[in-house]
Amino acid sequence: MRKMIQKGWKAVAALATLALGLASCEKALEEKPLSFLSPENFYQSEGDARIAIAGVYNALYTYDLYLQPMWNLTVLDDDHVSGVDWFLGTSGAGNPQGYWGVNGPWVGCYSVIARANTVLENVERMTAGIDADVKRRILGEAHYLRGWAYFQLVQLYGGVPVRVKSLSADPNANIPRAPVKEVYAQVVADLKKAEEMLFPFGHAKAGEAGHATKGLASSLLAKAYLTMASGSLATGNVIVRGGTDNGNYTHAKTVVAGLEGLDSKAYFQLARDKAKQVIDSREYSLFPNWKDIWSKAGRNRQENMWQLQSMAGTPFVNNLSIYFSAYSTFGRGAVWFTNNHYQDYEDADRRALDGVSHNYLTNTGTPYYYPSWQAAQYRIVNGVTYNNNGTTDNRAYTIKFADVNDPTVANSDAFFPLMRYAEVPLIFAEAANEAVGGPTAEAYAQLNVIRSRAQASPAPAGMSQEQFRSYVLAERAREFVLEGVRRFDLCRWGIYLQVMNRISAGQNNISKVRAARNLLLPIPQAELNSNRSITANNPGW
Amino acid sequence: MVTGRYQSALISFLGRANYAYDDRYLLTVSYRHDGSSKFGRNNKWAGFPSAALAWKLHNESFLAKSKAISNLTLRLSYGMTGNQGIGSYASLAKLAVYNYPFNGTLQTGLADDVFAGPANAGLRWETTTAYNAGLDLGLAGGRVNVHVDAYRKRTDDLLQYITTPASTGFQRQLRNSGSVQNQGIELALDAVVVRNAKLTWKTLFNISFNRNKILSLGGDLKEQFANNISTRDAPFIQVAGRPIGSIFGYREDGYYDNEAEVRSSPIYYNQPLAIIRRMVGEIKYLNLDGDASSISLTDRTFIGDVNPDFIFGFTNNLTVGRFDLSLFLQGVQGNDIVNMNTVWNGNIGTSKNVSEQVLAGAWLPGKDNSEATAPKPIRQFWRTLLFSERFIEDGSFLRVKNLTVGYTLKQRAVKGISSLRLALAVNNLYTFTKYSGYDPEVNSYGDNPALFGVDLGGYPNSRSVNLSLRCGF
Repeated sequence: MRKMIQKGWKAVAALATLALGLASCEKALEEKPLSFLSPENFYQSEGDARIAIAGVYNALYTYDLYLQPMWNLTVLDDDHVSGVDWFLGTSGAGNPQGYWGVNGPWVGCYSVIARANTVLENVERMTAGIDADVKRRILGEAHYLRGWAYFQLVQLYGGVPVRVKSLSADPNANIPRAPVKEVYAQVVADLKKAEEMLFPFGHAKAGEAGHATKGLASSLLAKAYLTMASGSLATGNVIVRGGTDNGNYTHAKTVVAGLEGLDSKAYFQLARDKAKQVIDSREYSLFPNWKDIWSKAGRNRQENMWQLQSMAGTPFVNNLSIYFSAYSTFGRGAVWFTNNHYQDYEDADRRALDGVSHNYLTNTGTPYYYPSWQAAQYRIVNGVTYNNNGTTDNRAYTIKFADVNDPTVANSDAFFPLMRYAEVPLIFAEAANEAVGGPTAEAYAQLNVIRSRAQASPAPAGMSQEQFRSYVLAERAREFVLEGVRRFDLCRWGIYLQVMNRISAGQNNISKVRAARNLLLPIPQAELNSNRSITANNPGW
Repeated sequence: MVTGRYQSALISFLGRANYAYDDRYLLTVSYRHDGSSKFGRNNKWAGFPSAALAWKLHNESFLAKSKAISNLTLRLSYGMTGNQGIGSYASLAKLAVYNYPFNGTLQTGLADDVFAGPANAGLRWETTTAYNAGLDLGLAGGRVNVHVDAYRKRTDDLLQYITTPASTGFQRQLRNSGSVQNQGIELALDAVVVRNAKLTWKTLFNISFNRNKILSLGGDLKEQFANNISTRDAPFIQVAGRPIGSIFGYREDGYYDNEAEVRSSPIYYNQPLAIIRRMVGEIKYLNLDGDASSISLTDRTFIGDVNPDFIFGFTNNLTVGRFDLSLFLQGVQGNDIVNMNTVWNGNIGTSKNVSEQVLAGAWLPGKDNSEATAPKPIRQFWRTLLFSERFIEDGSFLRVKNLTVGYTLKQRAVKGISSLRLALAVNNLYTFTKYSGYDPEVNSYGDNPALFGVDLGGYPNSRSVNLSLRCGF
């Protein structure tokens, strides 16, 4: 092999040119956003503040909250609900982990909280370009929404991390779970701020219907007080009609974990007084005709204090109507309430007469009636014969979500009630009874306001404290069936497990068997994996 | 309707120097300085040096006359490279459109973009530093060649989405987080085994062993999980000292055969009767944490690893007279696959179909259930199959990737045609594997290294048969 000496650099790049080039390149590498806004120079005008608060409400209308998980995990999990097993087989059967939306309430409520925090920090700083009253109201709305979200979280998960600053104001992402009482303290603080800053319904600066109002904040505050009071009450019994034989069963209440030692009576007094304040303010009132609550014309009016705002022809539509109504794209709806609960209404009660679809057609035109034992009344109507096989056809479908823009499509504009004024007189009645150790005349009066509006007979006179308590709880179930109230009622009275397991196998074979872990939802695994200050999940998960 | 406009800029300066001495020593040195618009204001620039040295021993006097060795080269190299494979604007805070209707009027809404995550002004280049030592050996005038490479690569400041606690209002953030090391050996051998007038036989074999290890996750992070692979399951754990692709989950211990067995478990002894009864014929999960009263997340452990022990390929080309034959085998050994089909089609009794094996292996009352492979078949919706070993399978396989048989006609055998070759080729002819899914060569998440080895029921490699005729005129 020939030896060859080859010497020398083949190529040399002048590194010196580098230094020269760098300075002029800095500008070329600067990023200018072309199709999105940056938060740094947003929050300038009143319009910006309105846009920011709308962004908080938006978190309600997501696949974390009211595009199903929030109502699926609460409405489908009580003693009065029944439905098809393919829909009630997860959260409706004590198996929320099998449901795709199980993490929704956590993620969605914290989305509300984070956005509310951002509004509070940035709108607070605005001085020019915004009406002082509107600014105050928008801050009040942020407090309301944050308080609402923590109230949902503490009921569903127990103690949760309390964040009152945005991640940019407080970059610590690892916040530990606060004790239950501290979360309630935040709920109360936010709702107090909200009722102080918000305008009453109908005020010129209150914003369009759908925005939070003063009366709404006070009512939710009353409900929070009531939840704390009933949850912390150490002893007592609640009589609940149920089991498989629909008999009356007396359940000894338990204390809600984390509320031990609270002055229950004081909180009942607070709830009573706050409810009284809302009643006396006359900011809201009942519809004289119960059915009007659920008509399209009744939306956002009078009794409908706060509803999920839907809008046909936009992305803000949901599938409440096809899941809960008699007529459905499935044929018939997937969710109804039980025959046992139906028997809890008097025959003349408008909530049973008008509130249930007694004669209806499926999407293929098959006529059905309900219930089979009232065949004389409903089997043949106007010459049409309706069907009912006496067993699986006995489905008490509510009319609450049926009046929508187009009932024949999977997604329509049903409004979901987030707070209804009818709750306020019942909060008063329940709290007044507990506050003084028995039902007062005014407690009876407010209870009968709800009963007489439904054309039901007045509540029986001379009830004991325990009987009155149980009666109000049952009245709440009659008034708010399938509105996401019952499960919370059973839990805050500490009788959820007793009531559910008394039934065991529910109507249409929906399992009502519940273990202790069902009192709370599991904290999402992603939170446990990433938040180093949370080391354990809720008991049993 | 939301559309996006993006812009990004990359500026590079590159310098390289080569030096060769006597065709025995070769040296290459380079340096590049890159600036990318995608990173934080103060982290846009980074420098990446590299150097390589080769020693051609066959040109040294002591080997120059060797007949046996035609090539013997030793190689050493070192190099740094940068990765900027992320989207634009990742270091900036973004507002996204989140509208809401009020009483039938749509109101524009804006809030922090959940998908973009919180802004990270400190975002910088991901860098990889690689060392390589290699040897090339040529024998018998190039008839036999051997290449051996040993390498170690370390990647720092990995650009990845890290799960942020949802309690912050965000679910992920793009960060420079963690360091990963890959090291291994690659061996390639090619040889002309036989070459004479009648017969030619060439063979080619390569095998590589790679070991992946997470060195750190960044900051004081001890463990983290890759994204969910179903609504509920996120089995890929990342822990320092273990490879990316470690699987974390529950271990099983058969089935509860009777009520007494359920009652004897501290998890169930004081549960309602209905729950105790329905647990008969259900999966018994091992309780591995200190808390005997429940099966919870802390009962999980390492149950698999999607990284193979080695991968290899083997090609043989044979020519006998006018016939030619080529056979290409490919194999992977020692990896696990997360078979999500068994998750979706494994929970018997819901409104979904299950596979036949699940029904055949179901626990049944009154039967000898020691070999049962699935819980009891009853209509139910309450059963949650926790992520356990049952969803993980050995993904080792040996595949006949290609077999080609050809025949070339004698030149000018047909008038007007200068050459004619007829060949039959079969791709993916046969796969030797124990994997129960469609195809062990599966990667449903594409090139996402955090989620390798997952079978979401994708379309398998198809077997194709090609008959070809080639004419030259």
